[in-house]
Amino acid sequence: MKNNPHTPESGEPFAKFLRKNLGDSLESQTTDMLEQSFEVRTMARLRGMESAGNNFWSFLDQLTPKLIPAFAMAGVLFLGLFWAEFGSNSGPLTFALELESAPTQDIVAFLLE
Amino acid sequence: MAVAMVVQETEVPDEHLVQQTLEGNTEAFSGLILKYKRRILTMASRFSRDAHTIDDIAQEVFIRAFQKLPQFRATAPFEHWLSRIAVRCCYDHLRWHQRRHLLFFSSGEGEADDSLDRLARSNDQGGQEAREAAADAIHRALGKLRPKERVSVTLLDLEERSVREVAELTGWSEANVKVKAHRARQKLKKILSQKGFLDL
Repeated sequence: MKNNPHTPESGEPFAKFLRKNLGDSLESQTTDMLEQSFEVRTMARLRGMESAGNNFWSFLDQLTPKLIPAFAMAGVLFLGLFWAEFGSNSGPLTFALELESAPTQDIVAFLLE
Repeated sequence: MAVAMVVQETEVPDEHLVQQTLEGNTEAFSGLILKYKRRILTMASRFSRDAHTIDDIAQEVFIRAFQKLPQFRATAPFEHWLSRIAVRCCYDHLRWHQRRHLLFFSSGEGEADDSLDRLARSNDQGGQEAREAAADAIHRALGKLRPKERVSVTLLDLEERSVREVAELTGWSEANVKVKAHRARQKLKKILSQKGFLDL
């Protein structure tokens, strides 16, 4: 092993040893290969990202008019339930909790009424 | 592509290409990619041996540069600004790789390491196989370093940059860079001596 040229010579700086063994030969082979039409691949990815971003915003633009009535209806429904629960003596939530804790025979009797 | 060809022939200044890109001419950016792709690919290849990963890191560098281009102030050369982004991308890749490795694999003890066998098998001491085995062993040793240590030692010892340059590129203090590089060298020496590549 000591005679191997890929081990550091005595007194050789470690950095030089690293450079000698990780020289550009191995890396340049990969780099040469990847360099081929690299800009084309990157620009394609860039355009893809740009169009995906544009598509997202245009999709959102199209969706907004449909979302507004849906959100409005959901809001009205929520307010209705809120009022029913807290604006009256026995709201749906209270009723559900009472029903859960009620004995089975009471529930059956209620359903049969 | 046409812009890229023109850039190659006439050496359009970076500032001009940056300005054109900012004005909405996305194609002008391919001129900058063409100019700096080799440098970025070479830097990325120091942090990974997988061609797909190198390609991905290099592409990520240019995509980040494109997205951050409005923040570019021409107080420093574009190349320096791009190098900072490249170093950051490589560091992020190492951190991601380390997290993934810790999550899914053991400390790497089970990995097949035949570099020493290959070196012993190689009768021709100056041959290609011995060179590849040595490079393989060093790459594996580099892979065992912490991301900051690997970035510091790679930029200092392989890219032959100064401590000040590395500090500027990474955003870490000069003292931090020196400490990380020193620790990295110590670790590398220890690992390589265990593998029989170094006589300590």
